[in-house]
Amino acid sequence: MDCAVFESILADYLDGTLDSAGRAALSKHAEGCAGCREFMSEVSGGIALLEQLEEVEPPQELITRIAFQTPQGRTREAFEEPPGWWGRLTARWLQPILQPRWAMGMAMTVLSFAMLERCTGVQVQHVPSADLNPMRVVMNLEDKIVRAKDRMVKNYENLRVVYEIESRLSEVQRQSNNDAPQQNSQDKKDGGQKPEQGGQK
Amino acid sequence: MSAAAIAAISINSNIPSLAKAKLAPWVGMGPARARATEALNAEIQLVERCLAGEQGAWDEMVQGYTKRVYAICYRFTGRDNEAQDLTQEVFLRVFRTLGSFRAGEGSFVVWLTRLTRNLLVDHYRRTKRDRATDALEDKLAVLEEKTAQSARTDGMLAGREAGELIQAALEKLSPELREAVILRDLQELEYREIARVLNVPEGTVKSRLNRGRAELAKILKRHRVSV
Repeated sequence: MDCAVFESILADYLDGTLDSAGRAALSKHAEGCAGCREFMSEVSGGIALLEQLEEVEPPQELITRIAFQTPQGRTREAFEEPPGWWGRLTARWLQPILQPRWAMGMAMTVLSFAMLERCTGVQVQHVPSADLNPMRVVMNLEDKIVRAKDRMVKNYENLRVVYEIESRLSEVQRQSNNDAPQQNSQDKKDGGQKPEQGGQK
Repeated sequence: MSAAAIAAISINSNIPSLAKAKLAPWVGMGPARARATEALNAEIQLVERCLAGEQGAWDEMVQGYTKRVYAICYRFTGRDNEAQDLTQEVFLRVFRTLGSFRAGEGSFVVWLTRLTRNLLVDHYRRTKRDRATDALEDKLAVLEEKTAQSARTDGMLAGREAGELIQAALEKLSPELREAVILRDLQELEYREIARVLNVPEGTVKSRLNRGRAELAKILKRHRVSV
């Protein structure tokens, strides 16, 4: 008997299911092979260790939880897993959408549009179908953009004119203010000399 | 449920009949074999009752097999909370796929154990990165403290402490060796049943079992712990 055969029948030997001839051959090999002898002692040691492990008991609440997590009153259909294509479709694509948060999101979107409609004064019911023509929508949009741009340019130009006039006016005012003190001082000079002239007369 | 009723359900559905696979009474069989056959028939009947939607059958199944599933999960993971979550997951899967159980392909226990083992392997792969700490080193540190307190110098441990240490050593085995040891030495399955569960030849099961047991003894010897 070689070591490989020894290892292959060792489990049966330790279980006590090996026939007498096998047992004798195994014992004979173990006597002559130190490696196999040690291996057998380790395996027996392992079995002895595992025998010391006590049975584990699941907590009672686990059994209750498992019983509750699966629906009561099961039917044969409930156990038959493979769903049809519609079942697979709804399970895969629609299930994530059909949730309260999505419904809430949709409701908020509708509300936002309603408020927008109310604020802008556009009544969806009164929009003729002709206005929904893409070409027309684009043209209207372009027209609006061009108008808005023109208005902005015009405003800017107007503002420039106003600033120019204002700056001119302030300049004129400043100049007139500068002239007035000079006139006053001239007048004062003239007024101081007059009595003298009168006195001379 | 009578045999006629079971037969009627089986004929009316597309599911291959489990009742038909019921083992016929064996004339002149030994008492052990007769008991095993009886247990197998009871398993098949329970599955059939669950599939038929019989009131209370599912609860009976949960009651009857939770201990086995939980024990495998606990011994494999070494953590109570993980074992509980995995047991729940196993039963959810059983609930969904019970229709795929075929009585002719082995006992229900083998089917259930294979399902549990597959889930455990998935879980092991998923959580491989999270297991950075060494359970045995942690346990040894705690136990060293305890033995120091109780002034025991011989390194002999017993009872709960020994159990904890063996469990920690079990967790150090590779998953292949660990599952073989758990299924044989703790769940007491036959070699051919383990071979079916693990989908390997019986010779491989025996080899893994030898190596697992020897490795377990060596691990504890290396840490100079006698239990």
